[in-house]
Amino acid sequence: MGARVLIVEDEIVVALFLEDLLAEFGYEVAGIVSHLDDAMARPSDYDIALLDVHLNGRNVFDFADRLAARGTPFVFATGYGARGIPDRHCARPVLQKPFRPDDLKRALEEVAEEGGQRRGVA
Amino acid sequence: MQGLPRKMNLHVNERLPPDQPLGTEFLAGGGELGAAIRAFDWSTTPLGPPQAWPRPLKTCLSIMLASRQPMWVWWGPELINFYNDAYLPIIGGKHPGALGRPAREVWAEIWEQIRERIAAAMQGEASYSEAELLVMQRNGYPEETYYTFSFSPVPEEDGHIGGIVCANSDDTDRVIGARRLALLREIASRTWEANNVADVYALSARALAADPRDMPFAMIYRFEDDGLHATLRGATGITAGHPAAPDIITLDGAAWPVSDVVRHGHRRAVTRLNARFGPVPKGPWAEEPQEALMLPLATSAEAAPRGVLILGVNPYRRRGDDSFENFAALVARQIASATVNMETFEAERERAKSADSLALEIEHRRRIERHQNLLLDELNHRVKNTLATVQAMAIQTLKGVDLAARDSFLARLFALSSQHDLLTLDNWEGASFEGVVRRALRPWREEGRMRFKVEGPAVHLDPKRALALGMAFHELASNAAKYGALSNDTGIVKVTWSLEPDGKGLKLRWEEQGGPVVAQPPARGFGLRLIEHGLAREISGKVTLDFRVSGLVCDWNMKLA
Repeated sequence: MGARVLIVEDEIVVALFLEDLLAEFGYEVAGIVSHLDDAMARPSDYDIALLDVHLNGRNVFDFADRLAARGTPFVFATGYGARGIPDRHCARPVLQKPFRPDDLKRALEEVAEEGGQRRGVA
Repeated sequence: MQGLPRKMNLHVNERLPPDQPLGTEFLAGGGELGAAIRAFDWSTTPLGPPQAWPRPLKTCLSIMLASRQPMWVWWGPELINFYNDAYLPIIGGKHPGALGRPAREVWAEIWEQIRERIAAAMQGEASYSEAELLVMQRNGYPEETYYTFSFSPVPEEDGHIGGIVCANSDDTDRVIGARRLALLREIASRTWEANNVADVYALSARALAADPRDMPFAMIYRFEDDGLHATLRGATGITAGHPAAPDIITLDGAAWPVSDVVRHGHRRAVTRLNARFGPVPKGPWAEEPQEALMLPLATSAEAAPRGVLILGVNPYRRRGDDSFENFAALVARQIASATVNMETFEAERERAKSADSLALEIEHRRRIERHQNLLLDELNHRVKNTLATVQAMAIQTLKGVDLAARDSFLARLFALSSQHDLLTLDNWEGASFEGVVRRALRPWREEGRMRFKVEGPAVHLDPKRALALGMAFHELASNAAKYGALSNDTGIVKVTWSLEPDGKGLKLRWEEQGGPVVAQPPARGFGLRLIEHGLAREISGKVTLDFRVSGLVCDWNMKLA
């Protein structure tokens, strides 16, 4: 079974689509959360997070900070493009919505590799 | 040592005129008044001839005549008047008629004021008065004077008071000089607190109230820009609207003849105020001013006056010199200086304020711009999310139905999204023509191969045309990828454009070469129909599709505005 991915997305149609795509690519979907609080409260039962930047009027960066501190890799998906991403996260992959399924696949592979390396080091 | 007083007596005696009766040695010397007293026929007075005068009177007179201080002696129940040379300027025009006359007659105008003190002195009670205001008619007109004087009772041998001796000093110049100086200082210190020119006038008028004796009333008028009027900006001692203090005066009008002051900057006196205006305010005096002085409000004799200061003149002022006029001119100059300083300051402040408001305006615009950017970001975000949702729905809906249809749809969706990005980069102000073309063709670009030739002048497109053209190029390119120059390894696409000479029109050509042999398609797909019909409307232009054997040629003539 592939890495477990948490989908953080407040648009349910997009979230369901991502769920299908992730399954198609061989990942396990750990869950879907659409609120920042739920994301923050969730136990660390996933390997990668897919983060919609804007969640019901709040941005996801606090959660991204926590993931970064924990060493959990993540990918941003945003309607704003890269210019909405703060400098401290600018090295993370950013998917511009709407994105091609292939782009998502590539981004996930990139961070899975990185996460795997990190786990290996630890 | 013993003989010295005798010697002096002898000396005095020697100077007695030969016709002087014996027993009047005490009147020796004493200058003009000594002579006048000696020459006077005292037998016509209640005092009788000098030989019979009581010793204390004689002593007082000899002291008085020898003194350089202004002195007088009033003697007997009638208070017969004696005075010395030093007193002459005080008694003025009353001399020589005042000699030997009852004091009550000589000083009728101030008698009420001093009567009680005189009576007390005659009862043995001395008094001392310092710098007391006495309106004396010593030169034929009532005059404001100030004296410091002491009434000293002089007892006769039997103990009853025979008369009064008085030493005076004239404080008039000192008192008036001090208050004028104080007024000038008052104007300076009050106007210092002013915040604007109107304040300067109001505060100056208030300062003038500190010296009502010099100027029972005062008005400040400022000339208006029309050169015809002056408006009342400050008044003291008189109510605005009084016939003599109208709110507006015409420069050549009847109320105040200020035209000379305006034109030549000269001060001018106006007399017979009562005839001109009816009763005018008296201020602290018992009588109305009969005269007013109009002075230019200018910082120098050369400077153009900004207004006029009108002063009711003290009816009791000293005549025969121009000390009041000079003082009034200083007052006017002081007010004018304060005004000019304030105008300079106000101009500075205005400059500073307009700089401030410019800064505010800039800040305001920045805020609006920031807000606009936020809105555009939000709009873009929503559009992108909507496109993402549409993409998700389409993929779900078309799952397992038709893979080619799905890909074609997604390609169109991405083309739209991509052109959208281009607009977002420029905050929806439009996009460059070349940017639109290159972005639309990007999915078909291949590393290391020149498949596109894009060439033309810089042209800016508004958002609507940019999106429409972006979609059109997407359709042309995807058509070429299926059937045309992009479907084999040798074909190329040339995109060229040029501006019409008037700059309002654009000629655009899409030309495919080197692709497979082209035939007129039996039916046109969605993409070509979009180009031929939809876009023609969208971009107010004309489109022709020419399916040449060598490749498709598409020509647009479009208007840019």
